[in-house]
Amino acid sequence: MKAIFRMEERFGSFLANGDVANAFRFTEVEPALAEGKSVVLDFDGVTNMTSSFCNALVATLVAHHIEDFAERIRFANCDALIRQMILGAVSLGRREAKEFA
Amino acid sequence: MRTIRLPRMTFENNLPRLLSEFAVADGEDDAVALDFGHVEYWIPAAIVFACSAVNRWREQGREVTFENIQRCRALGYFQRIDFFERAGLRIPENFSRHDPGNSFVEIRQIQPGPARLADPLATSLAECLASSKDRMNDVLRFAEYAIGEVVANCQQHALKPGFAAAQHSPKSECSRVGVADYGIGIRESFRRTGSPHLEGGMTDAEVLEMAMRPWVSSKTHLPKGPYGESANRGVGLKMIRHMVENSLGELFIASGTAWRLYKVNGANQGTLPGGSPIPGTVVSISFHHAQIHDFPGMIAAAQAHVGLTSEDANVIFGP
Repeated sequence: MKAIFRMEERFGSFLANGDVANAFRFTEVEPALAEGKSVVLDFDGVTNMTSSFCNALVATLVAHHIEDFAERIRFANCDALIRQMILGAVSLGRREAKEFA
Repeated sequence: MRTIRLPRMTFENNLPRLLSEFAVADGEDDAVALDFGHVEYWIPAAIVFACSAVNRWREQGREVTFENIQRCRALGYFQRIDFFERAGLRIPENFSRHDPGNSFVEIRQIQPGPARLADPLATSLAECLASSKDRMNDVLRFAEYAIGEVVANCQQHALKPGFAAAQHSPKSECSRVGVADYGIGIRESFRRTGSPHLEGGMTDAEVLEMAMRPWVSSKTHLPKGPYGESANRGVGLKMIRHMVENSLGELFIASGTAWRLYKVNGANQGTLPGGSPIPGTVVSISFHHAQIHDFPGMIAAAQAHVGLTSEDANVIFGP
């Protein structure tokens, strides 16, 4: 089972507010993962994102699911900028997971 | 009544003097008269700071008057940018409003809270400054990113309304963005959340220096926010600082009695001359369009600067 979240439809082409990202992660993405689904975050149409948004969403997800995030969470249709942001957030999530452990 | 004779020119380097004049007035209860007679040019941060101060004083029930407006050489500009309207004064306009193109953006209000405000506000300001709606334009994406972070900070931390404005000089190809609020300020934000970063006896200058370090935010220590985790990591503004410094721009930030001005060859810092604190926070970002290239590369360099690596083969991209 796959839950696909189209980010542009939900948040527009620029994703800015970390509080919004945090709420989305907590109320939609985490419940889908808890139901055993894999998650696709589809960035088609997203052209920009702040570090605050990306870290609140991606780094926290990675930190919470450090064992299997690579199997259960995919990032689709990312341009070079979004990809770079996500890579940074993943490294942050890994660091936070170590700190929590 | 306290009369503040407003300076002719205000740029980042003499902004602390203006902040100081307002801070001294803020500590009093008297009516305030703002004398515009000599004003010719102010950067957006100065304008939105004055706007914030007037709104705060009006909220407190203080009388605020504007003097020598008709002698002000920047009257038309202050009207076009909606300064007087935002400050609660309607004056007849002796001109027809036209599309400002990419020369300036009228003052916008920032309401505190989690509403999705930072995104559309940042996008509209950035489109104006870049004079482009091309979503892949590097200047647009840099401006959008920087404004988005600063506006979101204001929304999340100030607890009172703020204001934003932007301006572009076609001659120098330099853009400036200003965001100011009359909220609780950086020290109080750390104090209210019981941040372990805040130590007793720290001066405002020490608090500001600390707040500008990567991984320091007034909320990073909070174990359980409303959605299980704090949304803040304390890297957004520091990444902007790195990008601005490396593109020959400037980042000014002031809170309490302290200010810092970051440039390519280092930071200037100081305390406000009068020794009185400003309420809230003031941020000014300036950048030269010709220096903004390869925004993804700028982000990668800024991430590396704050200690984020991007070498991770396990991330799965693709459907």
